[in-house]
Amino acid sequence: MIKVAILAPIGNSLYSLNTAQLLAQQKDVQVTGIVVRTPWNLARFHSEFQRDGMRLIRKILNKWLFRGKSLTFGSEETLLSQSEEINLKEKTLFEWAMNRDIPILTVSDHNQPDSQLFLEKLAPDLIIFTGGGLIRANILGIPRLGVLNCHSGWLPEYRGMDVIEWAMLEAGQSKPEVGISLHFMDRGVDTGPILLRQKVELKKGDTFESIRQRMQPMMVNLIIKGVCGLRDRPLKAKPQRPGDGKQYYVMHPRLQAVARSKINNGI
Amino acid sequence: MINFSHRWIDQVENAFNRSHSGNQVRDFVVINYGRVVKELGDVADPKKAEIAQDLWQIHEKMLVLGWVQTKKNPFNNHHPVKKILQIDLRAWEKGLREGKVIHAGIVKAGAGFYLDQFAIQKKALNESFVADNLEQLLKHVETRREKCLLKFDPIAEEKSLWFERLNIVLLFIRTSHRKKDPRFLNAALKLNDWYFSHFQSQTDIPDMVRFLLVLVEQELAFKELFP
Repeated sequence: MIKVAILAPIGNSLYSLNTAQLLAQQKDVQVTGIVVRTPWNLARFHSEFQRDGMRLIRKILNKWLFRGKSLTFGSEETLLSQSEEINLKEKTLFEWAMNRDIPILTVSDHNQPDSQLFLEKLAPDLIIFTGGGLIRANILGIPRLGVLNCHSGWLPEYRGMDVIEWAMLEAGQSKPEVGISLHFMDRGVDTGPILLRQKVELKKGDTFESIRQRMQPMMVNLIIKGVCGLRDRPLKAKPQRPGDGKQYYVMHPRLQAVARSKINNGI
Repeated sequence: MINFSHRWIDQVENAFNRSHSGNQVRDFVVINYGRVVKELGDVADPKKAEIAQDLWQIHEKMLVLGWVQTKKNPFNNHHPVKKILQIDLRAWEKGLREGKVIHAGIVKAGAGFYLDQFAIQKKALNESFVADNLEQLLKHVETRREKCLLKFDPIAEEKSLWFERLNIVLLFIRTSHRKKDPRFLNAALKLNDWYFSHFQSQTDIPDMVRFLLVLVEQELAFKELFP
């Protein structure tokens, strides 16, 4: 039996809900508790808006108001179709936890003392991070095995932000390195030991939005594969060396335009 | 409803977009280069040697970019340029705390200029020193965003403060070109977007000339990295 706690960015995150639902369906995996970050934090909104600009508003509208309905490309699996497949009935993590008698805590920051206390009491083997800012050492040290995160980039090469765009921009004649990576979190950004990776195939007519949409259910599945692998113990994480990859940041609109033209022209 | 929301966001995004296109940068440089040349007067004055040197470089680079047609550079490249001695570099390096150009958000004065000099030397001894400090500077700019490069040690006066900042932007642009690493050009593009508002109302010639040099180098690096 492996005991798992979940950190979620907001109460109605479909990514977190699908992860929780699928984890609960696995044999010998027990979801012991959930920590949800409240969306009502002006200081955080201000700092994220400074970094992401209108992209943040788009993200909030899409995730919070439309629950992923606003971005649908083709007939591929999305978080929404995945939630139907796995028979998810609840709209929020609060409903989901209440229906299963699982303790849930709302915090303004995952690193705050009551979050730490709550997680220490749960004593999970593993914490699954499904979003919600940086995680500090006080939380990283709680679970026996560590804190798992699925990064929407190919590690160790592409750490940080906008990594699909960066991979596209840097791709010369070769194929861009687009993929997802399940890794343990450490104090750096996407620098912890890698557990599993999966390449994401690019298709004709792809956009950055369609690639991201395709990635999300894949990321949920990779988390489940990783947790089951840790439960059964065949998986070993491979440490990253600092020089194996680079840290990327939010891409400037002019570089984004170059990356977009590359994807439109099939690289 | 969903489509309407996204269209509304697109419009708001365009209204608040502060990034400058290649054409906007070109127009700004060409107009202000012409203005500065007119206002500068006698460039033979030794006090203006550094400005004339920058203007000479700007003209050469504008030619490469196709922004000017006159091949004859109105400035000459014979002004004496201060020679950088190995001893100057080592003395500056010794003044760093734990070999870092940035400490508690305060940047060591001369960081842009001296790191560029260390990088030019291409000595194996300097490689990790330069690379580590470049990553630190990049992280500082990207995480503090418009609040970056505010404090220098020793404290820079308003006049030299802009020189310090622009030398760091130049360092980023030259690094992106040297290492074929667009992350540094990315940071330079952002810094220049933020600095544009200052230079749109700025009349001080030395600062303006340095900013124009930064912009032409940015456009050259962009053209070379993404032809």
